[in-house]
Amino acid sequence: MKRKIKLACLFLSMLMLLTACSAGEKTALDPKNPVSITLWHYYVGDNKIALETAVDTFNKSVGSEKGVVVNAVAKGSVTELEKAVTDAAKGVVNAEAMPDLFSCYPDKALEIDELGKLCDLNDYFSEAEQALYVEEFLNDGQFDGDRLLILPIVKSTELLYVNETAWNEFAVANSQDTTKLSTWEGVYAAAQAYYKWTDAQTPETSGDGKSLMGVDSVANYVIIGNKQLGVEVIDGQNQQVVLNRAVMKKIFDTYYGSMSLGYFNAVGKFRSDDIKAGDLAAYVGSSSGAAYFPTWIEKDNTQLPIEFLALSYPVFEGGSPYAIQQGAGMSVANSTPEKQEGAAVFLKWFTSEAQNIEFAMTTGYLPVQSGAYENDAFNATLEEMGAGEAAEKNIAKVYEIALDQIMERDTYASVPFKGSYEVRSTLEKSLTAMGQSGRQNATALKEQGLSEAEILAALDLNTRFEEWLTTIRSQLDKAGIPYIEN
Amino acid sequence: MKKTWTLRRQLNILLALIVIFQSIALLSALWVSQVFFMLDAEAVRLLNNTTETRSKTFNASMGQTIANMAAETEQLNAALILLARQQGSTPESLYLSDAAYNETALLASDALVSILKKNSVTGAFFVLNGSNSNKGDPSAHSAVYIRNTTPDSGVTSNYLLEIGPIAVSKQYTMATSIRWNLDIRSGGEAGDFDFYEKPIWASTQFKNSEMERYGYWTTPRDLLKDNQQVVCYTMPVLDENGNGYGVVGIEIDMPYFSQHYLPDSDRLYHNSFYVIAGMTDRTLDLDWFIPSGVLAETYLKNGEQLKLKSLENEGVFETELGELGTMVASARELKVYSDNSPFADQNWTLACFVPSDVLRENSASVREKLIYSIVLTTILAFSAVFVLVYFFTRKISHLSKYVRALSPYDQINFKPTGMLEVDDLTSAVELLNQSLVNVSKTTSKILELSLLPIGGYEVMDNSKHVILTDFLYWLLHLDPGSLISKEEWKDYYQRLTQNPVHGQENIYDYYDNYTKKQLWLRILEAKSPTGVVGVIQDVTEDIEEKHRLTNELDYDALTKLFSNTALKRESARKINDRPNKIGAMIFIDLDNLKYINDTFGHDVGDRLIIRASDIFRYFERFDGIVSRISGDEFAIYLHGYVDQDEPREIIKNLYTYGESFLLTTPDGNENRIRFSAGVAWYPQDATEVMDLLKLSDFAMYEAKHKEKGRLYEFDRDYYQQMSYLLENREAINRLLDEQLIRFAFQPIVDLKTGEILGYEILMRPLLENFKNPAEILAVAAAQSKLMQLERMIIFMAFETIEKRSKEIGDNKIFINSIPSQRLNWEDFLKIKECYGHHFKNVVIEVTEAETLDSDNLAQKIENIRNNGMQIALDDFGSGYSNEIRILSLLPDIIKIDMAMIQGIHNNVDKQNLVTNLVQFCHNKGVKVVAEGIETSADLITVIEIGVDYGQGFYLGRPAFEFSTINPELRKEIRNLRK
Repeated sequence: MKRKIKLACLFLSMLMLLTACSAGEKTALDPKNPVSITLWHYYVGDNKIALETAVDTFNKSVGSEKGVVVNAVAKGSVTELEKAVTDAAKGVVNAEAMPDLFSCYPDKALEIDELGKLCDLNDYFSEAEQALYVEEFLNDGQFDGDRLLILPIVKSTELLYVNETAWNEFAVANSQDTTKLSTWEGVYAAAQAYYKWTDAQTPETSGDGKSLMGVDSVANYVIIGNKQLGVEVIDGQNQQVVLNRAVMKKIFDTYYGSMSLGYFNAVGKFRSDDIKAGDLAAYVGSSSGAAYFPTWIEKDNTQLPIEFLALSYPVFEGGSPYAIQQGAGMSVANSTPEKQEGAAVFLKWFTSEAQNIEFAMTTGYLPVQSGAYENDAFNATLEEMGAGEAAEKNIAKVYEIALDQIMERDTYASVPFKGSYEVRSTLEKSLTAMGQSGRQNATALKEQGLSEAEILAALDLNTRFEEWLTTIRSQLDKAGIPYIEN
Repeated sequence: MKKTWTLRRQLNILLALIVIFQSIALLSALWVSQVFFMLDAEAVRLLNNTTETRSKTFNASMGQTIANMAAETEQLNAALILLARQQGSTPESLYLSDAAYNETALLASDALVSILKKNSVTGAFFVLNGSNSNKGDPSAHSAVYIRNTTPDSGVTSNYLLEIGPIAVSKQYTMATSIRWNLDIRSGGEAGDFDFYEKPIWASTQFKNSEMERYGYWTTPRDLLKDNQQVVCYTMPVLDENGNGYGVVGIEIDMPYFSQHYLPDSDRLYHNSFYVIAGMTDRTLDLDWFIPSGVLAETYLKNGEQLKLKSLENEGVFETELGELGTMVASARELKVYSDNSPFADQNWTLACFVPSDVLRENSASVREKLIYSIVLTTILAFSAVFVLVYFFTRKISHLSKYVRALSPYDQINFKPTGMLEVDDLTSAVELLNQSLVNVSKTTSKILELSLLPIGGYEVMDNSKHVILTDFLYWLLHLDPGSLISKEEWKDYYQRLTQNPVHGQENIYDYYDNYTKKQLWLRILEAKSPTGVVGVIQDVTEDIEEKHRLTNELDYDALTKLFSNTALKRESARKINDRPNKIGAMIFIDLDNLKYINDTFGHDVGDRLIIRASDIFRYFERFDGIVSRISGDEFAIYLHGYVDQDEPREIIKNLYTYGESFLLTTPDGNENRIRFSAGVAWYPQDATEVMDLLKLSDFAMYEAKHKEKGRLYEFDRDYYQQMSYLLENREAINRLLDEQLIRFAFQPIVDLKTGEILGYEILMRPLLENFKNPAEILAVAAAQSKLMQLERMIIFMAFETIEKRSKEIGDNKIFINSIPSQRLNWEDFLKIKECYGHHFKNVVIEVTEAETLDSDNLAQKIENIRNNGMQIALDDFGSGYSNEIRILSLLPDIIKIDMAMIQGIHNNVDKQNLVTNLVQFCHNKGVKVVAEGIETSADLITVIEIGVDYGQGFYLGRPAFEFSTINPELRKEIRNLRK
């Protein structure tokens, strides 16, 4: 038997040698014996369907020609995906086998790479091929100088989504206009006005005002707020966290205050859900959620149509107009040459202009190859959407803002360092928790009949700020992440 | 000639054949045992097992899901019934009130979330009978539809609300989807809403049945119009009366279905895939199908009817699938419905497809290698055979070369080959050679000592001299051992063989001048590869002995008289010597040898013969050649007389001479020796010995018949008259064997009416040897063939009657029977069986005969009469003494012999005799026929006398056809009657 296997191996290797010679190009792939690639992703809903459709198309075309079969496995949220990947990479008991290809944020890539489980994509992407990608996006995946660990798939930025119908009603009644929404300070004031205005709609019940605003990603709010105000809270350059008290205080006060007083809110899973429920009239969120912004909201169990307004991400007064630039790329795990090559083949195909545009535009992502932005089809589709149904118009509007932010304004993505992933979640969780406790405390105070000013005083924002910082510090200490305060 | 090949070649061929045979046997054994294909069977079995396991896993998993769903649905039913009661409403109208609906939706979500948690499904939904948000729209249905992207993780945070009130989203902190809606709408294409309609329909068909019975599976479809193909399973939501007003369902999207339910890990072969589809009668209906992956999607064409060909194993099929070529498919029907489900006829079959060549890859490669191995080993074996055979036979070749080079006078000294048998053989050959040398010496000596007059010679092509043995030197009176050249030998040989003995091959008459002796030599010569060898034997003694023996053959052993041959030869010689003299051939037959033999035995018979021969030696005095021909026949030839008187006198005296010779038989009697003799004369009667013998034999025959114990001389007239008796001995056999007779028919006329009474059948020979029936009878009697003749006549007569019964009509047929003969019982029964119906028309004629046994005849007549035939007595009055007694047998008809009728008109005696006879017969009631009526005058007389019937040429000649009576004759007869 062994002999047979040896013989077979000898024969096969000779055959491969022969075919390799005749093909002229070195490849580990064999169309007759296709390699199976497991792809883990965090896409849900339409993105998931779009990815699965794309994978299907790939398998039937390029995949079948070259001998690659991709199996896409949805891992739910980014968090779940990252946990599964980490467990797999670490070899935790009962963890699944390491996928060959997976969605990955830079922070995570760095962590997995430390375990020696990532493949340098430079081996599979020539310089010419790399040059096709938007440099900035590609840079996000480059570590240690030139190790390419993540290939960008799609990118997104954050912007301000507004239920224009609700806003207009309020704006007309209160002589407001959207320019107020360009700064966080303006947003705060408008939200305060909105709360008061809506509270006044029902004179019989006080304190039932509605929240205007929501923040989808609190971490992004903190990071980009810092950046707007000139601080890189995740300082990749120096591999540390920078806690600038003045800047952080401004960011904290705006969020904590408005959350406590009900100007801001977070009810459902995503802020778009709050829009649908009529609980919010605006929020900052990723362009990739464009499709989730509804064309109607539920009111008394019926559908109430609404208009949509897309605005740039608000900027703190006196700050630079930075918006976040984010998006998971995909990393290839260290495995066999066939699998690595197969994964690379898929990535090349999936990020090629046509494919990339199609996938990206399902929900409002941005393509990653610079050519895509000049691509006729891309622009034609945008125009078509702009003239299409309500839902499509919405997406077109988001693109307008997102493209403007990417092209014309500054976008920012923090440069990760070891442990920087923890920083994001610390920031997110700690501020969200602060907001929620503030809201609870304020509600209790409100019931005691205190005015807003009294409530704010009672809540003691300074003390709360210190509390927040303390939490952050302790978390960073726990994770062994260096930080400085200034 | 048999081909001779070298040992090497033979061994090569033999061993090569063995190798070939062995390879073929191996191949056949492998083929017969199907070892080649065992791996195939194993692969198929493995495939089958995997599919079986997968189908069982699937069934179990789906069964569990369905059971969970049923439990959840029933729980939800109860909760909703309770809710409706609390609301003072009915379940059917829950959707109408906002509050009630919100509560309903939350209850439903609880159930859905529970279903999602427990089962490996990608979504769960609840659809109501109407829409809360669009109450007036019958196509809108309030629904809650929750999807779970990651069913396997057990995490609820990835739930996505596709349809349902925002309250649900809030309750579970559940994200809403892009296409989030409040209602689901029916009214798309027909059948699109089957997941709602079918289970409710089922619940109306089988009220109060278990929930599983109502469950319904949809085919894959894009239920939410979001490009996601899903399969759904729904159960009805029922009120307390079992009326359906909504459904609870699950969905499994295609990617998850294939990942979870048709996983890759199962598939042992590359390019294999699963598919679930409906299958009927070996046809996979691809109107819908659930593929396991890209291969299935690529190669299975939507809407196609994929025909499968059954293979040996149960549930295993074969089909052609595009580029993948021949696929082996293992199929199992899945159990997705209860047996009592109204949808149970919807077939879900799991099929696993594997390319045939992939499946059989191992087997094929084993086969290939096996063939290579066999070919290789065969080639190796061939080479080994050639090499080994070369070395093995080398020594033997040397040996044979050595032997070939040996001269007969060399000392043999074989080199040992190291092969036991061969060395044994060579030493045996050495021994044999030694023995041969000894034996040849011994043989020569023994030959010499035996004094056998035999010698040999050898003339070799490559030698000038001839080798002779001692005997030849002696025969030719040469010095023993002297060299004889070939030329000299030619001379000697010529002398030895110049007088070949006529009629005796290889025997030469040789007169030895030296000893003055007559010698006979047998000289045999044969060609040998190297020349000629010969043997010369002195056979003088043999030849002389033979001559003596030949002489002895001329004498009869018993009587020491000449034999038959000697008689002929010697008589011929005498006639030849003196042809102008007169001679007599006397043929003698002993009269009583048979009696003596029968009575006293052959010893006494032999004594009689010897005693008789003593009598016949009487002729030796007259220089007669006395011979015994055979048995009791003797022949004597006398020759050299000038007339017949002298020998006649001598012959006559024989009887006197013989009287004194007596034979004393054991009973004490002294018997005279009786003999009959015939004489034929040379040259009067015949000139050839054979003819003389024949004629004298005939004369003796005449004597024997006329006067036993007498001498008859040949009588040519009598001979010519009777010769047929002798000559036709063979002819009668032929006549009987080949039935060479035919019948003529002579009419018998009723002399009262002038009409024909009947016909007498008259035998006519078809052989020229016989001139008339009487001769046939005579020869037959002489040859004791009467019985056969009688049998033939009777059978042929009846055959003729049968054949010509139409022409015969009611006329009587008179058949002549030989009175002394009776058919045996068997033959008679045969006649009776075949022709019994003709008996009433048959008259059997019997004649008188000299040796008539009247009792026999009486019995015969009795038998004939008893069988309904009539009897006629033929030739009555032709002159036998017991006619009257015969008459007393009372035949039906008497036929008066023609001798009494011819000329009756002018012979008063005949008239009186016939008149009396007629009167006598008429008194007894016997009819009378007058035979031989040839003239009108006789006819008149006969009629006057009162004879009943007439026969004769005047009334009608015998003819081969049935003649009718001449009308004038009839007129004449009638006139005479008046």
